[in-house]
Amino acid sequence: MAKELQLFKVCKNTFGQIRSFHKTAAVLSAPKLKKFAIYRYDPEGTEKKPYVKEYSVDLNTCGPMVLDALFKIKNEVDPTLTFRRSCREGICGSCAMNMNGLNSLACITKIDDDVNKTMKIYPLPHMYVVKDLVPDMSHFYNQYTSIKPYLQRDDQIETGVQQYLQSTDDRDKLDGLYECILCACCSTSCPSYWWNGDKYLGPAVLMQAYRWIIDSRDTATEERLDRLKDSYSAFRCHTIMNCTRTCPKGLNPGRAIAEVKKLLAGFAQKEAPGLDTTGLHK
Amino acid sequence: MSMALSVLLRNANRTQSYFLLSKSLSVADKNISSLSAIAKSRISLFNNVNKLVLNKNHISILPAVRHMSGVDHRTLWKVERVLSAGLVVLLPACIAFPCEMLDNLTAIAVVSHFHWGLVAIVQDYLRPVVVGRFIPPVAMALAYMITGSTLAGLIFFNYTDIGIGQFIRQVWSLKE
Repeated sequence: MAKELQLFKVCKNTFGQIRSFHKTAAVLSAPKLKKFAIYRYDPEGTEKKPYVKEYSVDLNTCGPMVLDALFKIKNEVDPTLTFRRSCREGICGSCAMNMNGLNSLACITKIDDDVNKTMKIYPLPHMYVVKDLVPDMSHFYNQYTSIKPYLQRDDQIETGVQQYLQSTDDRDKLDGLYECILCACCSTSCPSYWWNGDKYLGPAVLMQAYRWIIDSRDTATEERLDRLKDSYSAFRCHTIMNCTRTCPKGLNPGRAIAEVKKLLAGFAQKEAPGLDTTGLHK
Repeated sequence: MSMALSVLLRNANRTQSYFLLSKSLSVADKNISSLSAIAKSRISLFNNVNKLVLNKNHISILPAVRHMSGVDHRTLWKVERVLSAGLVVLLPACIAFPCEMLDNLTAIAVVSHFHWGLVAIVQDYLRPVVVGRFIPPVAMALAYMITGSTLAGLIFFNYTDIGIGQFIRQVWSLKE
């Protein structure tokens, strides 16, 4: 019996391929036309106001992800369609947009196979639009700069000579934080950020603030927290949790903000480093 | 040699546009003398911003400023959390052992809890950019009036009538 099973296991892929070969032939005969309703806006064009344009794409000749469909439209139908993209595998965060009402990366969002439903594609909500699906990220990046996202130390040790020591436990604290690619999906899904984006930092930036606050090698913790103590920067978070729900990388900005609030209010304290950070310098 | 030429050709557009832009900026500078002080400062700001765009390759022309309210919110937030957690104990206690002190404590705690929610609603939904400068302060004053009168009413009820705890007990024991 075991031998038969082994044989089956070896041949399984072959059977599957033969079956799907026939299936593909049958499916290919009928085009699967899926409609995409895409937000269009060109401040320099003839049409001054934003509008929604519909495109049909044959899913049989298109890749599985939304970005593939956008490429197909740009290459074959409408070369004026503008969108950001770079890595096409969820690493760079360029193609963040709003698809069927949810913020995510177009390159890792699968096209819904149901051809009866139109897929709606909009730029990230509540951002100034430069053109079509390209939002102006300047304010978001400036907010990120404002939290000083780099290592700060109060000692006068020459840098680049020796490594700073960090215990494995301290390093583990950065997991789930450093992976953020700053695609702004979370910040632009947050109603509080929509309403008070000029003063509230938003989930993405606050999570990075937390990442530097709890870094065992960083000594500017007090100063970092002091910059977040006002009623808007961090405390405008109402724990709506859209950020965690929408994050295409599966991170949890909502929890990070909660930890920042705990540190701010003194309900929690930053732990002392597990290893002497400058041990190798001595 | 051919390498240098190709680089030069590739950058031709960029250098040209830089010259054009700096020319137009210098024209603007010459005309400044005949303008009012405000217009002058505006033009110089515009020029500075443009130079910034050229130098730093920024996309946005508007300089983004990070606005922060100066108030330290930490203590208030802490009080809010402690009070919210305290309500979990206080509310059942007030119904289980109705007395003047618990009734008054409940009135104050519930109304403050309600008040912070109301203030947050005013701050979030009635922003000056959306509804203008006039409505937000009026709405805030209204929020304080609502909570003030509610608190006064509840304490008045506690002293002149049966009190909150006893009242909820009576609602519970209503028959038909």
